Amino acid sequence: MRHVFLVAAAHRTEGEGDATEDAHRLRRMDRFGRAGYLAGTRAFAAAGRVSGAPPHARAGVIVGTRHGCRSAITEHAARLAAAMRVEDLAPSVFAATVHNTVSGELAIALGLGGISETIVAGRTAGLEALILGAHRVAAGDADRILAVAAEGVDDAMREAWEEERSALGESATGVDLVETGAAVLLETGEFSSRERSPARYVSGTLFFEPDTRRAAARFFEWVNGVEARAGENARPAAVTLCTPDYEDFLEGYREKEPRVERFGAAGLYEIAREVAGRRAQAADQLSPHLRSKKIRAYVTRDVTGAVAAVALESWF
Amino acid sequence: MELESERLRGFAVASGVHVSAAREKQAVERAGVGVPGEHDDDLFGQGSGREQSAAVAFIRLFRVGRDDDLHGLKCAFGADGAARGARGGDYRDDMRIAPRVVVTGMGARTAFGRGVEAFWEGALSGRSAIRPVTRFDTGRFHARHAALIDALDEQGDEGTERETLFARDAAEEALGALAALAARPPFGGARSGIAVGTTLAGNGPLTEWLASRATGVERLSRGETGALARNLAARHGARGPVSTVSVACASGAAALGLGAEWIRTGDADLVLAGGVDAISPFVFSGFDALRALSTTAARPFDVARDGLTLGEGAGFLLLEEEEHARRRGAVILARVAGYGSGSDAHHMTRPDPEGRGLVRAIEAALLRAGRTASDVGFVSAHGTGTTFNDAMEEAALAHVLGALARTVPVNGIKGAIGHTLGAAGALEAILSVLVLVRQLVPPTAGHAASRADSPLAVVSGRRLVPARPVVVALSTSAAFGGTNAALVLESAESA
Repeated sequence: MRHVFLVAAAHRTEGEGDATEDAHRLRRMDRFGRAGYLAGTRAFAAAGRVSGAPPHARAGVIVGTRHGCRSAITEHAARLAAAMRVEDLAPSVFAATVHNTVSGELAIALGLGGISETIVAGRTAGLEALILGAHRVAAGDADRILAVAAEGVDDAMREAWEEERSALGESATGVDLVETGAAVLLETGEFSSRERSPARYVSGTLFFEPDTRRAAARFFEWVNGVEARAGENARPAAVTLCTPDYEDFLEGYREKEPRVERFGAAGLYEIAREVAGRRAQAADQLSPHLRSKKIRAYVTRDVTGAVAAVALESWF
Repeated sequence: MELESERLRGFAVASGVHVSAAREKQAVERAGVGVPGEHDDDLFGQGSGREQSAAVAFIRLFRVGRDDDLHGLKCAFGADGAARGARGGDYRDDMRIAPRVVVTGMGARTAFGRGVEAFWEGALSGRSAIRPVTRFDTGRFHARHAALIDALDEQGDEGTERETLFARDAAEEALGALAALAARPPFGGARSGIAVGTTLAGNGPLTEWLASRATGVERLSRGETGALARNLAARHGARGPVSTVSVACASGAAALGLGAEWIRTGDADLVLAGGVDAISPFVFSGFDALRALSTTAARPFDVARDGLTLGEGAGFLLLEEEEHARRRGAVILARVAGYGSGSDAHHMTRPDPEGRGLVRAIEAALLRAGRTASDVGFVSAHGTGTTFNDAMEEAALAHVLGALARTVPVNGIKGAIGHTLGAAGALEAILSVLVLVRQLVPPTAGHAASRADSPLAVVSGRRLVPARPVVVALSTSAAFGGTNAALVLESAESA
């Protein structure tokens, strides 16, 4: 299978201020759309790739989200409840009630004419998008995939989060819900190289295991397998838990635990942050041949039972 | 020479490798003259690893004199699929033979009734299940018709959503083929997965709650699209990969593509994959607002078509790794040979008039299958019955199939069961499998006459016995957001 590199990344969270780019296009999107679109276009630009090119069959986009276009859905539902006749509805609002709006908008803007998928899962969605994208590139179905994760948060969702947080118990106390968009550009080795890329995709896993102990055991079994395949030159894998640990899933193995809820964007956000940071430092680093290899596993756990994890190789 | 090139391309694609034109030529020439192994060094020493691997695989296949298919390749390199080097040990870790994906069970719930047989008999009859809507008030809308499932006799928990009942029903039927044989392993555990395609499963409770203007706090669990897949996983004990794809009307096909991908990458042996959607005033009103609905009934590819008609239901297929299926003695219905996805990158709701995104999806699926357009013997078209979508699809199929488009039989099932949205791609895949198994092509309900310059051979009026055996079927899907998907299915006897 072909090597897959994470060549650039970007993320966007609340409080960064309104974007000025693509104002016309952004106006027709809901919060989910804007979060994903801005992260995706910025990751593409960070890699120095050209926007607005004719659609290319070997370039695609895969998006992950938990709630997707929920804001547009609630808006159309509210309009329908008040409508006396169909002319009272807004066709453009209904057109936005599909979860693949982000992939569609990014495809148009960036000329991504190949693979177009949207995964709607729980907190694992973003990492699922990355895993699927890496598999597609590794298998030769695409040379370039933009993996995106996004969650838009409106006032109703923020209010609803208060209830969900209460139901999760003490472990969720103080965890704030944050609107997030994150994106990572994946490319095959023919377009990128270890020397130029912040990280390489090594492995990914996705499984459904409601029992927390068994889920943890399966996760560490996978980590052990990744370490074994990495060889003697690699350090033991470090683990980043990307979601708040509401169930004590990793029981102290984790290096740190975020106290922020990003739903399906959580995993890809952590990776995008790391990749963007490494890319910024890349110019100061020594040749990879003089550095040691390190494996880091990023894991997301949804309280409904799903686990998704990704192992990346980087050089120090 | 051309045949060898075709084979190499097929092996390379199925094995997940890319072969350059120069490497292909070199490998074919070398294989054709049967040069001994020690002289392969110059071939090994050039090009990228995967190209070398493909070239070596190809040469060794010829030397061992096995069948010209992946079974032969697998035999040549060991049962575990790892390529053995010409000089003894493992040659390359990356030269793994991708597992093949077969269909060993199917389940359908449509407006024709419960079960695959009801779906097939309805399709073969040329009847339409489209009726005036009585379940909810259509007084505010221009359209009045849909293909709805009116009789719900499933037992659900109080408040169980319609799409959940549809999905459970179709899933049970698809798994029935497995459970009926006691000696076979049950579905479930870490090697079993579930992939669901849907546009808006779960939004019913959310929109009803909003419409009722209830007081209290909105719940995030209301309207969570991914919940249905997890519910099915809990119900059937799946502990492998479980997920949901939502790419509007291409969701069902995309879920099958995802499920096949999990098997191909070795993440699962069995995947219950399919699509589901239920029709509510929410969806009906939206399509009506877009003026996309027919005022009578959908007429796919008909010269007088005037829009789509909504339908509801579910379709699930049990996908299985081929060796796994053979070991347990399963009846193999068909093979999922290729899946492709392509984006119009053109407009969010209007299809690319030339169908370039769909062309890319079809070409990717054929490439993955190691097939060419000339192999296609049947097309289960997206065929919504709208002016623009059908024209786009005509252009795309004419581009891919060329002159053959005028002879390859095409069915548009949406004239019979309506546009079932997230279920459509899965139900159309089931129809394709049935055509492969039974060698009959149902007529397109609602289609009377194509426009004079239509490039397609739409089957109309009565069922068709194909002039040549259908070995490869193509199923196409297109969606809002410019997403397109294509599935290439092969008959079980094609290997």
